[in-house]
Amino acid sequence: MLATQVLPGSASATGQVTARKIVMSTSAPSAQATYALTFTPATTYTTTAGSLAIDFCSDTPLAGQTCAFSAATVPTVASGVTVAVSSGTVTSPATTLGSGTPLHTLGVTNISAGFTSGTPITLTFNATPASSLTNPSGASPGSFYARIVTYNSAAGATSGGATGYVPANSTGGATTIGSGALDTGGIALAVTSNITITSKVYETLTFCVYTGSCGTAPNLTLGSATTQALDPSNAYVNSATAYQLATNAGTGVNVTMTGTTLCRPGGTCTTGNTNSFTISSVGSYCTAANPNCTPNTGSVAAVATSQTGSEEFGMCAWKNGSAALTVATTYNDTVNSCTGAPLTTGIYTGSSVFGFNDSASAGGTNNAAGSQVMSSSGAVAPVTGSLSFMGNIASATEPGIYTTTLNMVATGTF
Amino acid sequence: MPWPVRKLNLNSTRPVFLSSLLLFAVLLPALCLSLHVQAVGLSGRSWQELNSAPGVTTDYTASFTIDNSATIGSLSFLLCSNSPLQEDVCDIPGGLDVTGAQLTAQSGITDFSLFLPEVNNMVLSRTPSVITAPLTVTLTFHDIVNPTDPGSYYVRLGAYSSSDATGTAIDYGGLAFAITSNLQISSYVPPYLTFCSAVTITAFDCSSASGDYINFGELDTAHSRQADSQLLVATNAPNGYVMQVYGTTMTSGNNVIAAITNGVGSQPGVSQFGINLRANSVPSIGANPTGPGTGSPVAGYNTPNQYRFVSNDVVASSLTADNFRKYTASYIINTGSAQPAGTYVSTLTYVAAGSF
Repeated sequence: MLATQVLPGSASATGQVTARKIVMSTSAPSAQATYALTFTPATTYTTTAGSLAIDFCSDTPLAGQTCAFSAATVPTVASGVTVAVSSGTVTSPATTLGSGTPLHTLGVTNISAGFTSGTPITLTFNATPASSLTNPSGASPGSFYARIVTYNSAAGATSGGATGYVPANSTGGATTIGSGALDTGGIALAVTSNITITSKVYETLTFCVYTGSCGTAPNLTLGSATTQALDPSNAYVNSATAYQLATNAGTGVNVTMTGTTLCRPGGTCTTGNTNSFTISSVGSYCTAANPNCTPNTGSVAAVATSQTGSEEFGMCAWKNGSAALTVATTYNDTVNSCTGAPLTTGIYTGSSVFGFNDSASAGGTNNAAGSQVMSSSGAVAPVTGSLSFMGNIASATEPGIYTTTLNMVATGTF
Repeated sequence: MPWPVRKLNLNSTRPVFLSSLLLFAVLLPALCLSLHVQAVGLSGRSWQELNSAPGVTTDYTASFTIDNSATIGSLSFLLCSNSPLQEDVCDIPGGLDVTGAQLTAQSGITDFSLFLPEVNNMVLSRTPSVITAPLTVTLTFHDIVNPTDPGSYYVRLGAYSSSDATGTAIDYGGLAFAITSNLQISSYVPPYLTFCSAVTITAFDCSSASGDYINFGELDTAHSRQADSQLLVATNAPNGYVMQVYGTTMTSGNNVIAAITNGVGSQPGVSQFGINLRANSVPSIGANPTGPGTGSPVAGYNTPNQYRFVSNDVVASSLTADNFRKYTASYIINTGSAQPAGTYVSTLTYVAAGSF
């Protein structure tokens, strides 16, 4: 819809309608349109029903002047243009006037309420049926004008001759408004090509695991801040690993992790439960009698709170309030949501729950498919969360430098 | 080639980006009305890395569902760093190399052969034939070299009626995947030897050790005198530990109560001083070792009701790293009628050494 511009109009021996406008349902060239004409009469005439002529010209809005027109520059009309009035009744459909090609003038008769000075009136010309009121067809037709003339009789506008409206029958031809005219006014309109917008939305998957800022390789030390060592008297955490995740994958995203528990050189690192070269995954010694530990249930690994003096390596994930993400049971800290003051970096005395499934079976980090850390069933708005790692050793944990490389993979299903 | 390929040229792309940005700004209010994703005929698309680290050689598994029954003669996987859209030029991800890739598994359609025309393009070819939709296809590629820079990358997946991925794709879908550095964690476990001795030690906590003096009271020839103390040890020394005792037997000036050197029982009326690390009944004193460790007293100090004391003797040991083990050292003193009167004293020192 395009708002229209109001220009002055003039006619001899008549008043000028004010606050006049035509609202078009569409400004697209050649489109079938609905025009809503609103104006405020200057002259009151309620003795009988009134009438109105609306003439579309491309050269001037001044009633009574010559009128240039063509299908490319002005709207074209045909019989059948329905019309409705804001107050009272009116004869519908409107009448086409003149014999020029194309027809570009409409007459509206039997406006039952007549015209009252200062009282706005709206006449709506509907595009139904199709092709009855058609926008100019030119690709860049620019502005054109509507000339409005009101009459002091029910059919004055269509009577032609000396009293009614006579449109131009050839382009650039003369027009007359007739002696029955009450008020006149001109309105400027314009058509313009519709805006066509094309936008590309890529499949997106942003996933970054880092310390400091995205792109920084995450290298952590788990242990004392001064010695970088673990000891049997304290638990240690490191929460410096952050991740960023976002995707528009409609079926969701799955974040998995492969790798081993902490392991020292010289032996196998595939599983940590019974291997002297590893720091056992948390919950390895879990029993139902241990209130700090939830034992294995099927493929779900045990999770446990930190127990100083026991050999443990575990992780939890913080999803930072993301409603779309679900943290897998193994890495879901049900006590503190893997966030809060105790989960900083250094000695740990908190109550969070950690897990680390280093099994080679399905769901384990030593399985090629990895251990699920987080997932969603749909798109994920950008979220920045963190991963916290916890380490404990027993008095008999073999000395050495323990390391692990964890590979985090995010897979979207689009 | 199914799509144009272009290497990234910053000088040429910058003006395009600027003009695109301006256009975007002008049209922003209307953008939300016309968003759509270009993807036709291939749903449930995923592209899973075995290893997401930059520059590594790894496996990828592609999975998708062909939604339309049609003649399928080939598939194309074009990996790009700039866009998943078929109509866009493709910037080759830096470092990516699929030329060594192998097709190691396929399901859904199982007669594909792999061709590798470019470092970022994999074409799978078969004799064109009609497939019945919906059909889920899973393909595993071995030995793809990841891009060297972390970030997001795209796969343009197309299905063709031709056997060489030429012509117009009959089905198409984009994918995105991420390259991110692996997480490296290191931790140091130093050599540990925890050891304490005291009259009493609560649980397995050396900080609770209390007392370093034992008074046996007045000795007589008719009764033994006995007492005990505790020793707590743990180590991660791979070859375990030994615990030794140093000191003298009970002495009073030049007078001594003879130490038991041959492992005998308590004999009231005979001057003797000895220790062991077991629970005894004659006299009733001591306790067997406790705790999660596996260390044990050595011969000479490991038989109930038999005692011994030789300075420098190893009294307990473990051959491997050992968790906490608490020993109870029992002391017995007997005197004979010829034992000179006096105040008899001994100072014993226990030493534990780990074998790392």
